[in-house]
Amino acid sequence: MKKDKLHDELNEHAPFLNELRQKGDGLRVPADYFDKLENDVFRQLDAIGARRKPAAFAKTKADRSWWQWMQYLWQPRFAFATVALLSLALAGWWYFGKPAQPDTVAVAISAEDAEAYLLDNLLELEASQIAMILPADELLHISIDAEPATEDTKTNKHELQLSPEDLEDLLRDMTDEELEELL
Amino acid sequence: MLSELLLPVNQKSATDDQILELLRSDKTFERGFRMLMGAYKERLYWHIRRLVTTHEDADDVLQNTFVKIYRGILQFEGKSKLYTWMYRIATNEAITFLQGRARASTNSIDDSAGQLSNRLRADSWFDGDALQEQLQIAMAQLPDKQRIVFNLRYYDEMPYEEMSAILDTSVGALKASFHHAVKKIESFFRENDQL
Repeated sequence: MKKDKLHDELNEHAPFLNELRQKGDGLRVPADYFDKLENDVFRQLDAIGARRKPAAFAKTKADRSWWQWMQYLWQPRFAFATVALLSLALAGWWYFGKPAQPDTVAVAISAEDAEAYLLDNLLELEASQIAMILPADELLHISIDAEPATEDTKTNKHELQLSPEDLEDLLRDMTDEELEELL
Repeated sequence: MLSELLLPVNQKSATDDQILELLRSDKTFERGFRMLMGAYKERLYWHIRRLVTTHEDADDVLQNTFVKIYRGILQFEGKSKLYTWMYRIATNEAITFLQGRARASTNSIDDSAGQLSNRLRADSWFDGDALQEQLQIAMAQLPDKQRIVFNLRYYDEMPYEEMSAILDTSVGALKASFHHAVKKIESFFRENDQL
């Protein structure tokens, strides 16, 4: 109906234009122009800083959707924090969780060397340390006084009561220099 | 919220109300604007293209038009139809562009016609014949208002009532404009021995 009205209108005033109109205008457009247009417009909006920012994060927890939470947690600062924490945990596990290697040390020191060391440093050892290195059957004869040391026994921080046999064994194993030093 | 995001995928089928509903929310604004562009980009492009003639110019003007629509859509009060409001913006953008081009050129009408002819021949997106080229040149010589009225009526077959809403001009004045434009174009062809 509208077309007929225009057709009549043109026929009345300019029949030539009515014929020309049937041929079209000769204008064409690139095939993918309209597909790309939307992104081109958004690029221009970005360029002039006119693009609206995405929806603000809801101020109250109750208003936040799961998607907003995901977006919130996916921020770079949280990602970096997570990576840092995981690195620390991994480093801690590697450092503290690594099994001790006492066997290697023990193998490196001979029994003679260990005995010599103990004898050299006998006076420096605590009673509890001596207790640790003595065999269990000898330990039965040794009572360790756990009371704090008094002023008059300061040289031996804990009173050490050895049986006469133990003392005799110890003294027998000591060199003259060690005895001099002890006395 | 999810239901809003899953509104019709086919942008051309979206109604103005659906588009405006999406544009009201921050969360769905961008999707709404993409739907708006999808629904109106072709109509607005051809409206602009017939006013500025070449594809490159039409592309610039159309992008500027959408930027203006983007920035002003929240001020759209719904007193007129959405497309009427957008056509008005597109028309004003095209007129501003044409006026800028006219100011930049100090040539006579004949020189301007020659320039347009050259531009059309250089435009790989124009493949009209000699008569179609002459029609573009004849239209380019019309005053802005007559040119717009002629385009809307001749190519878009837009009813005068709709045109009146876009151009804020009475139906009678638009009919007169169209009539004058037709006579001038006819006269152009006659002078160039095309009739």
